[in-house]
Amino acid sequence: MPDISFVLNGKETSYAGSATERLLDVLHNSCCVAIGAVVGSCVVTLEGYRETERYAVMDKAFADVSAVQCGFCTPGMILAAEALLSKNPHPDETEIREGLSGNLCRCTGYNAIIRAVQKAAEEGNGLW
Amino acid sequence: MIELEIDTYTGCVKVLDALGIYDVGTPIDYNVLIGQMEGGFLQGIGFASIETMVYDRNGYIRNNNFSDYLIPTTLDVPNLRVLLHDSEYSEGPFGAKGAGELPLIGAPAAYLAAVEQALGGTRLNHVPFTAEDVVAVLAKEGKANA
Repeated sequence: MPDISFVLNGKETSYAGSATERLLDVLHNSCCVAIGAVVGSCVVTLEGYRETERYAVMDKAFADVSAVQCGFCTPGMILAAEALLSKNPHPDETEIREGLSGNLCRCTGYNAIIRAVQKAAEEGNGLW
Repeated sequence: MIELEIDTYTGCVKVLDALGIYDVGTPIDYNVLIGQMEGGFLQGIGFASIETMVYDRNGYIRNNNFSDYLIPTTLDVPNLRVLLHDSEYSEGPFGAKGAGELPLIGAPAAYLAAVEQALGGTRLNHVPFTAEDVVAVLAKEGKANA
């Protein structure tokens, strides 16, 4: 187990979207799901996702366009982008904006994050 | 510079175009600097339009969380643009200037000036200027579409 977990606690309210996990192919805010509700389910957090080839593409895209500033929203943004790309591998800009609209970011103004997801979708062609 | 459209029935404001040009001296990390400028610019538009902080009479902030203190999301200002005025600043390290708070300062004034123009020139002097404030101005002037 890693020492630092990226399932952040969003103050049990889920409005910021930073505390995000994927559960049964659906994006969830982990602070709003009772532990008993996930018995027997497949839960992917950023720790698990980090081991995948898709993450490597996503990681590179976020770094290349400097889509990370303070970094607090990044785990949630990456999992929201993964959930979006696994449903729609070639989203246009509006679809990306809609896909990430549940996650808040205060630093970047979102443009860099949108570009990173576009780049990941291009470069990971076939992975999603 | 901000260009916007106002729905005179609901008071909702849609930002059509937002352009910020900032004098930052020499940019050191171009991408991060653009990100900082875009982020601050969007934050300024948020402050000017939706981010209402409510205090009670004892001075406690009544907004509990992001359900009642709204900040801009990916969908709010999709057409934000930023340009840099790149000129060496002799007083700064490597010709750079501080650029942290810079983009936040002009944004609310630009937003309010645009709302003022759209509403036909009534002098507006506070932010955030929310949809409710817009409707109040329209109602006062008898222009409300309701």
